[in-house]
Amino acid sequence: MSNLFNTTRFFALIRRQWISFGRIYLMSVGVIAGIIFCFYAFNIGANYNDIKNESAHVYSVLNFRSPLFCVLGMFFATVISSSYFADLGSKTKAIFELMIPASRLEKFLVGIFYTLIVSISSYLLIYYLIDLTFVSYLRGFGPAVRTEMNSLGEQVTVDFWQYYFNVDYPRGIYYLCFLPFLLSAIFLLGGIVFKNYQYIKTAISLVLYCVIWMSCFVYLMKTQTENTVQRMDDNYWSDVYHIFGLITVAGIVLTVIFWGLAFLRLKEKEI
Amino acid sequence: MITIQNLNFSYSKSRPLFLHMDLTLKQGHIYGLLGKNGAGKSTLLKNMAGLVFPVSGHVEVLGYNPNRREPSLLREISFIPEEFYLPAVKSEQFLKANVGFYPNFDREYFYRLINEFEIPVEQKLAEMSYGQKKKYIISFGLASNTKIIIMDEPTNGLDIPSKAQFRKIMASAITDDRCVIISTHQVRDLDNLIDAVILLDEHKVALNAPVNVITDKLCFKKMKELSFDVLHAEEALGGFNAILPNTLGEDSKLDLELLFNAVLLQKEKITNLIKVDEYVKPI
Amino acid sequence: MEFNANKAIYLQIAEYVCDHILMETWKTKDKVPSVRELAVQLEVNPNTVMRTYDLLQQKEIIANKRGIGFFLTEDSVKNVKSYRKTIFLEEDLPPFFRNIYLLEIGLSELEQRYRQFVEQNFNQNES
Repeated sequence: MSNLFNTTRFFALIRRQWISFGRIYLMSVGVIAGIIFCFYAFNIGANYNDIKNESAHVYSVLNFRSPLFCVLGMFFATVISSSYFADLGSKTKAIFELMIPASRLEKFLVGIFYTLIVSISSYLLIYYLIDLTFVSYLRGFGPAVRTEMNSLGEQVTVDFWQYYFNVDYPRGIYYLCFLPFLLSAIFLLGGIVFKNYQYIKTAISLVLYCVIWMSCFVYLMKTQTENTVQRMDDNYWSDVYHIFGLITVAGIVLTVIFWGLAFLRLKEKEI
Repeated sequence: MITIQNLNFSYSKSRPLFLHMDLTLKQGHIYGLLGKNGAGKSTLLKNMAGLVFPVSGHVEVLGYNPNRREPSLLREISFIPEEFYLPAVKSEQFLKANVGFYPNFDREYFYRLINEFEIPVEQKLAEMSYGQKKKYIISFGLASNTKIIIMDEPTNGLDIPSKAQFRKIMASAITDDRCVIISTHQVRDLDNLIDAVILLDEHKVALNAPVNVITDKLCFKKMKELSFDVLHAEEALGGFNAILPNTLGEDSKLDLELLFNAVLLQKEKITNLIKVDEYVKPI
Repeated sequence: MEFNANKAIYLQIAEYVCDHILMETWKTKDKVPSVRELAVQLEVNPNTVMRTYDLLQQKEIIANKRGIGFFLTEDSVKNVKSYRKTIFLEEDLPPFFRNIYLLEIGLSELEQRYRQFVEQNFNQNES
């Protein structure tokens, strides 16, 4: 058997890790589902009469969805990521984790499997399912399609009660899809590096780091652009999506770097 | 089976724990690892298991470097720490999750051990008493049929009948191709079980010798009056417990506590006598 | 089994085995417990029991039949007695002599007491 990677061992490890990790995971899923449910129930309940009478401003009833989806998603992904390797912070638990006869790569990949694949896909599934339930309920009140005039003076049909997975997002959003991966990688690393209070410590470090970095950036831009006039060139960087693209690439590179660091720290973990 | 060469280890730069330590362990023996508090018994065991990284030096276990944590080595080591954690699941579930990693795991043997130790398996592992948990992981470790068994203070927390059961089980567990290392303060628990002694003192291995070599070279005696050639003596009821050079080829019983104190107090005198042909005879 | 503090364990085990042979709980030509069985029973290292068995083989009290295990020899009882006698003469007699010398107990008194002892303890069986 290879000492680097073996599929049988990999799946055995996935099964084994479920025993320690499954509890935290299921609890988090329960809490998240509860929060989503409450938001929908509260917003629909508060506007129940308007919805029933199809009054004009009901279109804003579901506006909470995008911020809720993003904030909760980030929270869920980071909590799961930072708790996965948290056991390594406790001597008594870590010895068993490190002595289990699986390679370091397998242990790391199972970590990625749970913190990334399982957590993000289950989050999407839960969110869409709850959304589906509530929106179906709303659609039961009658036609939700209106014809309106858009900014160009064309006639467009707007569906108030769209399912969330059908909503069209602005194009720029897609460039930020790396964000959950990056955050997950950072919190995975934080879970290994810190011995206790992993989540808080990682979050504080992240915020501090961002503040410092952004201050530097703002200062740099200020010194570079002060008393200058913007030229409306047609160069590559004047397209906002090219800049978004650059951010995406940087984000992906950072994600990979953080995963690499997490693997190294896991490899060299001492008790 | 385990070779340590020129090992230097420290948790902080100012306080070295091991300096130029050499140690060789062979198969077919139960080694008793003794040392004062803070002499580094647990740390030495962790070095063997690859749980900590030496500052410099060479540790080799079954031909592997334990720091690489390769599965083919890990599945040949049972490490039973002094403090440990068991998850809140029942025994069956625990077995299902972990047994697959140890190709030589013997379920029948495991159930025999569980039976012998009288561990209730219907209970969740986390809800067991400390002693029961300890007996559970000892059983799991032994049933894994690994070549190397490392135990840190295994008899701590065991009640009197369990200690006797533990000795019986260990007596049956040692085979020609296995190596067992047990660190302990409770020398009386393991007196007749260990057949080689490793004594840590002053950053080094002060003594590593089979019991029969020690008793070949030294004579442990109860004396009314001390004679001139006594190496070490402690006052006892009606005389002295003494260690003398074994010039007449007498067969005496090793008194671990006495030897321990003797080595700590006058290392050279004792170890020079034993070191003459320091080797472990294969059985 | 309680081990005493002064005598080497493997010799104490040898005495334990000899006792069984003299009391005939282990009979001639019977198989004796394997090294491992005896080690488990006495909670000692199997290597120690091996040393005992080596000694007993030397004294021709037990013999190793390859692949089967250890058995008592034809002359095991006789050999046990001679082995025990050596031990007695070497180890137990000197302190005994020392005591009768120090306490000034005459040989005639000793002889008389010896006869009395044998009468009380062993003659009942014969009558």
